[in-house]
Amino acid sequence: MTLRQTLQNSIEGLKKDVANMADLALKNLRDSLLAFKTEDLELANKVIKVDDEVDMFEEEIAKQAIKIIWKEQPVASDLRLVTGILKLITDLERIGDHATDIAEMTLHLDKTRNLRVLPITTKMAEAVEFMVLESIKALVKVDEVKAKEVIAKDDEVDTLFQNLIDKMTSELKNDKIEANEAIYVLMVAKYFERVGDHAVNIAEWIIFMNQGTHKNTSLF
Amino acid sequence: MKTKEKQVKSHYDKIAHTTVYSLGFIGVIILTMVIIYVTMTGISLVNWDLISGDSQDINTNVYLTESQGQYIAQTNLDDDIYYSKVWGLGFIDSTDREGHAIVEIAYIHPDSPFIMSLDKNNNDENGNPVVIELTEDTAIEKAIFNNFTLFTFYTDGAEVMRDAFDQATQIDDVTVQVVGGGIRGSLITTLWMIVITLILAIPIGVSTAIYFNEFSKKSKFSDLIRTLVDMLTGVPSIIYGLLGAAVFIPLLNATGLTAGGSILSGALTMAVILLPTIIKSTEEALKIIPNDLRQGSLALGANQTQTIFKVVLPNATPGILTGVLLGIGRIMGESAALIFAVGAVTKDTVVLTERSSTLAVHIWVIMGGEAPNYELASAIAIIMLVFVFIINFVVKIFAKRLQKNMNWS
Amino acid sequence: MNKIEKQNKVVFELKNINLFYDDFQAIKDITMNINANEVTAFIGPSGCGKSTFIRILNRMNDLIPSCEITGDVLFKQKDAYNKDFDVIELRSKVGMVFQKPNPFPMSIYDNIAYGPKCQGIRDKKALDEIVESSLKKAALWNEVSDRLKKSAMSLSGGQQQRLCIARTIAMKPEVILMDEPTSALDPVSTSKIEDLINELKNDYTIVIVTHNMQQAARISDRTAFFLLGELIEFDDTTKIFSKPIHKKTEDYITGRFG
Repeated sequence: MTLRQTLQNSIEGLKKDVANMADLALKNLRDSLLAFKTEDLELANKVIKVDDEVDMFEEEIAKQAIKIIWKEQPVASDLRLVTGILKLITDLERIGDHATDIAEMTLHLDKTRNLRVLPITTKMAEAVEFMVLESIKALVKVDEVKAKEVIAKDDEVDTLFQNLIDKMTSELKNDKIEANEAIYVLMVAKYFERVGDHAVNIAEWIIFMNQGTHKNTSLF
Repeated sequence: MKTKEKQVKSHYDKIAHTTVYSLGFIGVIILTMVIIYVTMTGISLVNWDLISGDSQDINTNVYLTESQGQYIAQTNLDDDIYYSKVWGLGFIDSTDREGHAIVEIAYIHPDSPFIMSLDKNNNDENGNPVVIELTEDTAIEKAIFNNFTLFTFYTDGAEVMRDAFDQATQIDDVTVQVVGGGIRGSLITTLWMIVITLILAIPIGVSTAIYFNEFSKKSKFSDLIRTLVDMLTGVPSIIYGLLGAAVFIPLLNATGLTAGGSILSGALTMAVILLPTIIKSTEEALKIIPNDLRQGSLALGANQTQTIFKVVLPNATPGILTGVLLGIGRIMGESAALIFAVGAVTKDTVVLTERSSTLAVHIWVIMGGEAPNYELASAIAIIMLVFVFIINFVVKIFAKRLQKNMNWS
Repeated sequence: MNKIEKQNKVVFELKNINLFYDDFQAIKDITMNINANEVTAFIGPSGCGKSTFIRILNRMNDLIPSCEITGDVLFKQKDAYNKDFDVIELRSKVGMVFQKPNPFPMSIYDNIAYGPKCQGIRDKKALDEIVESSLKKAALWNEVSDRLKKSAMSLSGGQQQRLCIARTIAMKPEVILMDEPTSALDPVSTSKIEDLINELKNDYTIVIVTHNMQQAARISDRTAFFLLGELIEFDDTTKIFSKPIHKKTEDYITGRFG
């Protein structure tokens, strides 16, 4: 006998909304990466516009989650889910913001580009895109194992970022690239790295939803 | 509901209402008529004398000292009092309780020789005749005068008696009568019967009910007993009367306290009659008390006895009193059973180990002879009604006081 | 009170308890301990046995003739069901408050003095003192101190229930059992009594049966979940309400079944 239909419906609705918000943020991120690769200025502008939607999503989901708390007084797994969601939508929204940042970088970058730096950034972009995708998959299924994989992948991103810094430093020393180009590339890479961190945060809250512990600290 | 159905229903309602009201009305009318009949027939006889007087006539023969001459009346006497100056006596016509004409002494001069008369039939230890102080309201039945003429005056009236007394110089014998027909003895007997019966029935009945309701486990046996008790409430009381005559009277005789019927045997019989009623009403009163209270008391560490006597029983008292009231009514109304278990003898001095009649039996005695005295019976009935009324009232007030203290919501 | 400082003394040890009403088994092999100065809550759906179980602790089941209990019930390490153990003594040490407030139809004073009087305390001054301190402990003194002789039935439902608590306290118990004490009361009275329970646990051990899960979450230190006569889970309240071990517990407290 299943009771509390209202609560169950509310929670299902909440999960759906979070999934939709995550999909939107991910798509925007992919578009910003693509725009950066192909220097597609029109796409970059679109990305900046779409971010408003992502922000609105965050407010809406927060509202729904708070409503569930005062209306239904959730406990146990329901409580972990709702509070976890409240926390991770912040990170989703930040990912959306970084997509905008990357798009704006794209608008600023020179047409002349040293193609030699692209492989690393491309690798970073792929890794980060993978992390966000996987974290969303983990979220939808509350999959702790997948979440842990996402967290592990962050090391790779950090390493790539460090490599890029080294590469930029040496290329600058050897005068092989323009200074402002280097700065922009580094900044874009930094944004990639931040997106990775946010994906890790999301993964950590997914683990909380399962275990009640966040970064190995019990929150109960 | 359609209109036709509504009409039919309201017709039905009207018929039902009318029937109920008229039946109730008829019942009230009949009751009122009975009370009116009894009152009108008997009210003339109801006075303090009736309540306090003896049932038997007491006849005393007195002889007098000599007349000392003239005694002038001290006060102004009414016209219907015929006053004898020679002896200082005032006579008046009156009737006794049976309706016969008698002559009463209405006034005695303080110096009249009649004041101190000598009782012919009683001598004290020294062999001297006992001096009786005669009072007003005694009747003169007959008198023997100096020429040994027996004058029976009471049928002739007060005036004739006064004239005869005036002519007498020496009075040898006067039969003085204290008129009977009073019910004092029966009244006292009724009270005793109530008290002793209740003393016997209430502890046993209440204890039995407590045992069955509080202590005994639900079993076929206790159910059986309960059914039997229910049946006993329906047994005609005359059968209990036979029980009394066959068992209690010989039992008490064997102890040597009594010889034949007695108030005690009657009380024992009545107690047996009342027992089922008291058991039942006590049990009902106990059942009504919610189990929460018992649980609350036990959870505090009281044992079952404390729970029963400090919590349950005090709250059951109104119900028990109802049973007692029913019982008192039954005692007052019981006639046939007591006739067997006690006897049908009216007495003036009430002794517990001897026979006596309650008010109901007294009525039976009066009505049972060849000349039934409706007036006297009705008078006694009035007294009984008043009595029942007073007892009901008192018990109800008592119960209300208890209720206020308990304050059931 | 800091958990480390709290003396984790065990007041009740219950081992392998089985309870039968004739042939029907109402309690199935339950083992648990009740700790001192804690509030232990029993939760579970209707008919799960929690009310039956709490009545084992003060032997109120003795009043039901068809009831049979096996297993060990140790109150402060002594067998409470032993023939030599005084039931009256047990019940004065383990008091009980019922779901429906059941004050006696007597004055407020007499209600509270009832228990001590049954124990033989007659001295008026001693009784006065007991009545006052009990009413104060039950947070009722201020409301009734001027009308102690008035009937207890004139109090409101919440006040009557606090009176019943005061009545139990007057016996100076060590444990107070409460069988759904606020389910018949309005929310304000319920809150007052929950606050009261919070204070009382400093001096007494409290076991409370409740069908209101939020109440159990609010006031208890440990919670036991009963289902069909079995003890499914018994743990710190925090654990039960954040991450219960058994799915049945999870399903019950999230309301997936009742």
